[in-house]
Amino acid sequence: MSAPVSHTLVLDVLALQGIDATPEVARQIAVALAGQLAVVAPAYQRLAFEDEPAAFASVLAAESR
Amino acid sequence: MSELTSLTLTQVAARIRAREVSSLEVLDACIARAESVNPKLNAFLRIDAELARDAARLADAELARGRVRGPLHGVPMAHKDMFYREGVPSSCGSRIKGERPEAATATALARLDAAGAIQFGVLHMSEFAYNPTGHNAHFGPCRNPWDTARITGGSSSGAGAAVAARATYAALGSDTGGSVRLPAAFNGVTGLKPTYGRVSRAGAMPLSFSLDTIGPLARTAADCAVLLAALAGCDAHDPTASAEAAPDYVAHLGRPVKGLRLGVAMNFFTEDVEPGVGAALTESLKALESLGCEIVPVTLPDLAPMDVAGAHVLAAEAASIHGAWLRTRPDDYSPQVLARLERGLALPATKYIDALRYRGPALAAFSAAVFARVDVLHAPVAPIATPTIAETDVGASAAMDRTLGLLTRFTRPINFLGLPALALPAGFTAEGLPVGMQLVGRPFSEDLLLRLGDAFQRATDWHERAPAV
Repeated sequence: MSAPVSHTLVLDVLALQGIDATPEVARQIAVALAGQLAVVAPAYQRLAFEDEPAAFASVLAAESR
Repeated sequence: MSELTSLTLTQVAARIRAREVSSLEVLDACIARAESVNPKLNAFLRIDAELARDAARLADAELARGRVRGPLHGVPMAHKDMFYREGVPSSCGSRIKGERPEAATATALARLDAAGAIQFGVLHMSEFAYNPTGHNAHFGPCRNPWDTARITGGSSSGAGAAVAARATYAALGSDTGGSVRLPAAFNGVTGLKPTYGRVSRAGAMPLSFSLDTIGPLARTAADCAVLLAALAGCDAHDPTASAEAAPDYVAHLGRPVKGLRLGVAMNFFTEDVEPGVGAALTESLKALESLGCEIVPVTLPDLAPMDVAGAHVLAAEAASIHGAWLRTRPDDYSPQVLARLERGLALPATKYIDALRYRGPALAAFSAAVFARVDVLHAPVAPIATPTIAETDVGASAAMDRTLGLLTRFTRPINFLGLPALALPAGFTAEGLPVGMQLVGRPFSEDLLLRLGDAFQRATDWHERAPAV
């Protein structure tokens, strides 16, 4: 997972914009940002996918001896 | 430590079967040892002495009548507290589970029962198995028997510590991102993460449907072979349990390993490895080479996307499993586990599905790069020697991802690929801390890994060293 987003950083950014948020609101924004940041790791943009995830068991069997 | 508790599982099972010692005597020695070390280690969450004594008396009576249930007849063991037994609560290392008795017995426990094993307690684990250190905010940290200021690794923390301390002959653990292999490595014992689907997960606490595996921790590869023989096989209660035939893991032990091609990674598993860990791994390679293995350098495909995809699968599935409790009982989670689970709620569904769709191609690419050239890949379990409890007690702080990520860096990609891996003691650092190596094989090649691990342990004595706890 990517680096976490500190809710105190979110509070600081909101304060710079003149928004007075509660720590709980800032924490929820931080959680959502952490989830979004996790999907943008550079290596993850170059993947080749198969059509359906259910095929993994057959790949396991095929790659056994 | 008594002479009885210093035996391996294989040795004590043979002595019980031959009626040189009774199951009750062995059990009492284990309970005495467990009670002696537990104030220092916090490895046992509960010891069921009287229930186990009843079972041991029955096992002895059966033996007297000539009945042998199986290869584990009368052998006491304790397991990570996440394998359900009908009528008994399982805490799963949490404040949420454990309030009610379980409705059914886990297939893994039922199979060990059928082989004759006797469960005498349940072991410490990370909260909901969601932490690789062995910290637990509710039960306190489990402590490493080699140095009680250090972590055991997790999430099968009590399993690693109790096996190392000679308080149980073996323990069931689970491995979703390294949770069998890390405690095996940090405590100097042997642990097997089987191929995804090799061992039924029915009745075991789920963390991630796509990544969870169940495997044994014991003192030797030969002990793990006996345990896997009892555990492996399809199961009507778990549709993901594989129908692939399970070979005779014990019969494969002792076969020659000369000529096996052993891969040594030229990338990824070499990054940021501490000198003490690297030195032990190099020495272990020399020992394997002396057995006739051919050492072959291999270049791995980029494992970073696999690590990301594995993290997505874990985050999304864990958040789904915990969805109801996240809404109704958020205050009963520790801050770290809550923070990690909540992230999964924010992960887009498409990214989760993309990660699952990537899994097959990722395994095909890894196999083409590795298993087209070698039989087994040799790698460290972790890049670092066992850290202290204090330096890994990071809670939900900004250091959380860096700390947890460093520990699981070499183990988590193997879970995403679904591959089997055997963790073995490979030596010690200058500070006297055990170092673990992992042997990674093709899907369903546990027989080969156990044979190679057993050959290595016949040629070395790292696994025989016991902590002075």
